[in-house]
Amino acid sequence: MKFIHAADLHLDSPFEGLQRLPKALWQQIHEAPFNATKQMVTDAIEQKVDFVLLVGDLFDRETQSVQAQVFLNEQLQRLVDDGIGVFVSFGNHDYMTAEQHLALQEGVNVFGSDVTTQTLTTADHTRVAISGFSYADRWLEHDVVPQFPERGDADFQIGMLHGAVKQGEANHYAPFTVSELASTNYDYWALGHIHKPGVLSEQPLIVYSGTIQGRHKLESGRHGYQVVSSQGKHLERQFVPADQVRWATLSLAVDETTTDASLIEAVQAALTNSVADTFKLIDLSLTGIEKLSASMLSRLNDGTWLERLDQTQKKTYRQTRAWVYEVNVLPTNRPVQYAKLDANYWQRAQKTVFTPDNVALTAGKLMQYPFIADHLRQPETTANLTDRAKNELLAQSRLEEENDADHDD
Amino acid sequence: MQITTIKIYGFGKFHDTTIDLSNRFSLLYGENEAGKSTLVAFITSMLFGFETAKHRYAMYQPKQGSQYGGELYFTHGSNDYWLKRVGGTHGGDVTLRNLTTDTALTKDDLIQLLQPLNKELFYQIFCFGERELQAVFNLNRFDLVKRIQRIGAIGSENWIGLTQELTASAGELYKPRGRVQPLVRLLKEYDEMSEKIDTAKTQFQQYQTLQNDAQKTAKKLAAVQKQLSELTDRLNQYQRLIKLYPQYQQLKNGAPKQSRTPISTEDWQRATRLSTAVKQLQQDLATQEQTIKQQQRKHVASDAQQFYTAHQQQIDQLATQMSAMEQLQQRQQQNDSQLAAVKQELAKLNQQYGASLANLKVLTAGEQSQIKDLFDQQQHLSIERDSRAEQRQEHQKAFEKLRQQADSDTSTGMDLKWLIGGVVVVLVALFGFSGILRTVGGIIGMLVAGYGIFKPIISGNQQSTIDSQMALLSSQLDQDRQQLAALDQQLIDADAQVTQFGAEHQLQNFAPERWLDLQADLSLYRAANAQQIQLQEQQDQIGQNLRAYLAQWQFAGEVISLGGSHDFQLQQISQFLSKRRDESQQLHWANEALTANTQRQTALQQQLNTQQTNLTQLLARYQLTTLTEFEQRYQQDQAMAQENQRRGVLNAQLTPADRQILDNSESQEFLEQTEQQLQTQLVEQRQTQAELLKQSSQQQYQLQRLAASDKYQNLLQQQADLQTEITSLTDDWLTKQLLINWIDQTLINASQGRQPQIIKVAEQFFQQLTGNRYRQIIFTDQTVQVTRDDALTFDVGELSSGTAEQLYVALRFAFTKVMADVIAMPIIIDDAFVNFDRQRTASALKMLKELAQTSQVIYLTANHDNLALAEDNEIYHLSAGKSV
Repeated sequence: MKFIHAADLHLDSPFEGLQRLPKALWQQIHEAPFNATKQMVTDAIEQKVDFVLLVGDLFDRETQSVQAQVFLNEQLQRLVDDGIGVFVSFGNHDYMTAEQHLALQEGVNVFGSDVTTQTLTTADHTRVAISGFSYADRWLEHDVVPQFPERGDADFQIGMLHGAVKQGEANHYAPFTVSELASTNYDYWALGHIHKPGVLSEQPLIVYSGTIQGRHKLESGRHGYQVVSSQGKHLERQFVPADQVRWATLSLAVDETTTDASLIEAVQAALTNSVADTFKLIDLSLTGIEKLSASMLSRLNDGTWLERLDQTQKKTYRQTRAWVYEVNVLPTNRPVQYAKLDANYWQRAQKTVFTPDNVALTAGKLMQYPFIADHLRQPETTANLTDRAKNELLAQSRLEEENDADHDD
Repeated sequence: MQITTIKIYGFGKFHDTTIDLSNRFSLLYGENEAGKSTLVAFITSMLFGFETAKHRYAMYQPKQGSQYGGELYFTHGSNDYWLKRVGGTHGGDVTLRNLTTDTALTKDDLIQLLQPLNKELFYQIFCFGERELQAVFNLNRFDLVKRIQRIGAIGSENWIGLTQELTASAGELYKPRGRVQPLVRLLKEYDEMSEKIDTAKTQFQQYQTLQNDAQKTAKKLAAVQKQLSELTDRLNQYQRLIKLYPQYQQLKNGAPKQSRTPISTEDWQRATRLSTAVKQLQQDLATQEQTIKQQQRKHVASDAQQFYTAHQQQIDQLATQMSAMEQLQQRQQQNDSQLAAVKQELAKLNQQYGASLANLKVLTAGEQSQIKDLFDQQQHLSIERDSRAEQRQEHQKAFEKLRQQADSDTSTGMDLKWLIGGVVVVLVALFGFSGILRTVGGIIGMLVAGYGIFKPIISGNQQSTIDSQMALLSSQLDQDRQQLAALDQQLIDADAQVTQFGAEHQLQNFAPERWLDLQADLSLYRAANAQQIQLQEQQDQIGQNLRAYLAQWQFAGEVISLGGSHDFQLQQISQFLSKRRDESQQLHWANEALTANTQRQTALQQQLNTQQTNLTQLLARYQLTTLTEFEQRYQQDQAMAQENQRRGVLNAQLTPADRQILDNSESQEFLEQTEQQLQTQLVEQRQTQAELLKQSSQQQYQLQRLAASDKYQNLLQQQADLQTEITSLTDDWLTKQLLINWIDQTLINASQGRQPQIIKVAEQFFQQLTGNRYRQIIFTDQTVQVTRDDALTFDVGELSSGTAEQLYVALRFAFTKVMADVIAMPIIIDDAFVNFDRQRTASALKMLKELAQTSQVIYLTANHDNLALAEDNEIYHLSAGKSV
């Protein structure tokens, strides 16, 4: 008995955090979720798996596209045509309502909003029971696990659950606890919703397959699906990467001798040294910036340098199989050269100025845009802005020194 | 800190200049370009280091080749110091000495001494110039208030300048009400994009609606197609029925005949088979009868056989003895030949031995051995006598020879025989042989001849022994003669015994040596006599038996033609018997064949009966008696079956529905009318189908077009990219904005922290500067207020610009004083009051002098009028006098 567990295909969700990409690369990245899904289906057929579990968020209701639906139908049809069972439950992004739900073709088993159980017998005469449900709404605030049936007499019982571990008070996505799942005595819990692949428990297996393709910098590292096969009475799990594009980071140190060109060379060299099969989207971090000249620093801060790097990248990204999409200038540990006499005033002010509230207040009208508001409300944004302000302060004070000196008398 | 003396080796336009600053307040006068700023730069450079080459203009390298640098004498704390700084690395080479303790100090000690100040901070706190004040004076009210509010922070002017730059650069990115800034433009683009996306999003609804419509169309189409196929079927049915109608009508009228049980094909075949078999059997039976008659006619017994049959018992009994009789007859013949042989042998023996044989008796075994011993003895004696006689003769001969030798010793010469033989050999060898053989032959011949010549010489010397030998021999001869006589006597005795034995046994007619041989013939003779008698007896017996046997056959004498010898008669009988056996055998075989044929005839008859019965029964089943009738009936049935088949074919073509339609149709025209109606309906439905197909293909095309379009997805991704760009730009903008915020807040915090002290000092200064017209300064969160001596309170914005400037100067100096109280450093004012009128300048100088009570004040001015406001000893002329 062998099956694939995948989730969170998010076929019609766009990539976030990218801009000014070359057309061809843009296209390649745009197709990545489709190609990742296609590969998963191809693997399923080649590996002769008995069935495929898709645990929610195959697409996004909010941005549902015809193309994605047609594509998904095509891929599922490939599985159906090959005699591979397909079990789909919908999640918080592709929840199904009475009036509108995805028209999946015949042969695909879709779980309704109540927990139901489907059974099948695989080619090797293993009897498998699969229990699951679909979201009927954007949120599902109560624990659904008690609705799952008791373990039957099947050889293997599998639960499909799109949700998150219970945390704090507000839980919008079918909250559960690991011990609760473990106590069901199911053989495998196929989880969805969390995009990072993860194993909550080895015995029994409680596993997030993760999204099949990372879509922004926070979904870095490998993404793909789980292949699960029976070894006698227990199940073996293996993560298989299927992502076509991978989010990664690169950290480089700079110093007094660093110039625009030398930094570009250093980046290229680092990328060339780490060419991999999977295309990488690189978030570049620079350390030691306090040693840089003020002008270099300001070119890093205002994006001029990245634009220059882009010119080089456009010629080389096919070889390096990587694209630097962002440069983070890490703040220096050395204090900004403000008056030591006033140091405590600076620190006090920093604490009052760099708060999410003040950030929102400062942003003002921009907060009308939900995506900006979302972005600004994130604590990381505030931290990032703090770092950047410090860098700017550093750069400005450097500039000022230089200017002052040149302009006196 | 109090700087007491400045000594310049070379710095900018200054060289070898000494300035005494021992007063708390010093007014340094110089016209424009006299080097006021250079002097300020010298002081800061001495304390904090020369500028690096990076800032070339701030280095003030001496123009006239003097040594770069100079000296400062200053008092700090309660110690006097001497500082020398000349050109060198890292801000110049420093020599520092504590004059009070007379100890040498290092550059680091200097930095330690000046803690926490650096050049920048020193400028920000303790230097106060025209430029700064002018900038403040040019501010609008709002900014002025702001500036005043932030006066308590170190370097607030610079920081404020930075915030202004930041504001400008932030404004280049985004202004909430802007139109052209990049972020504004991107947001506009985003709005447009969102609209496009909303439009594109309806694609999905469209798609779903289309899908639903397509499904409906497909259902309709399926229904129409079903109807179409039904219609087509019905139409076909009617068209078929129209064709079948005449036939149907015909069959319907001619009702099918009620047939008797028809003759089945099997029965037909069986009857045919049976009749054929009957015919065949009848034929066989006739043949069989013929055969039997012939056989019966053919086989009749002969007369002899009939006779044999009549006397079979008697003949068979006699025949059993026949072989014994024949053996007897053979024995008789053998006996005859044996008898002849015996007679011949007897005649031969009689001829050999004469009639005397009959009288002789055969010697017994004892008699035979007795006579044999006698013969042996006789022979033995005879042999011994002969050997003795021979021995005597030899002795006689040897004696003769010796006597001859003794007589003729010398008589003999050569031996001629040997000589002649040798010559012959030589001759033969010479003429008969050649080669080596001739040589060998010659040699042998000569040797032989030689032997003949020399032989007598060889045998010469034997004369002496011969005489003794002759005597010995003569005695021997006597002895021999005596022995011979004895032996002769013994022989005579033996002969007498033999003669006696012959007389005793009547053998005197035979030589004794034949006696023993005669014994065998004698036995033979006696045996042959006995055999002859026995054979004769047997012959008589056999002849008697044969005669008796033949006599029994006399009843068949004529039939067998008995007569002649026994032998012949037996042959005749034997022949007769043999013939009878043959004939009996033949008759027996003929009889058996006849029986078999008769049996077969019976079997055939039975078969015939059975088959005929079967045939009759078969015919009877159909109430028929003859085969001809049967055949006629069969032909009739066949014709019937064909007609039924035709009916069946038609029936098969007609379904119950067909039949119903046909039954309900009164005429063919009715059928044709219905067909026409169906045709019309079919055309209509076909049209509907075509329409639906068109509709469906349109829907499918639209579906495919929508499915193929990645416009929406592309837009989504573009939107995401735009979002990234916007958030990134927002971050840029916010960074600047927040930094402004931060700086501002810091300045406010710092100012507020130092406010109580500053206000206290500033109120004094403000009173002085305004000639006591204002007495109180109040800082609020929003603004700064002053209270006039008439207790009226004014917002800074409400003050005249001059008063506002005075307030700023008061606060600024108050800040410096407050800071100088913490860090005692000289306060340097570089022509700050250019805009002030005389009275105000006087007030300001008065204030400076008051300030000088706690900190050294160095006031640089280009205004000559100001000289009047200071004591002479406080004044230093930069261009004239002390300066070169």
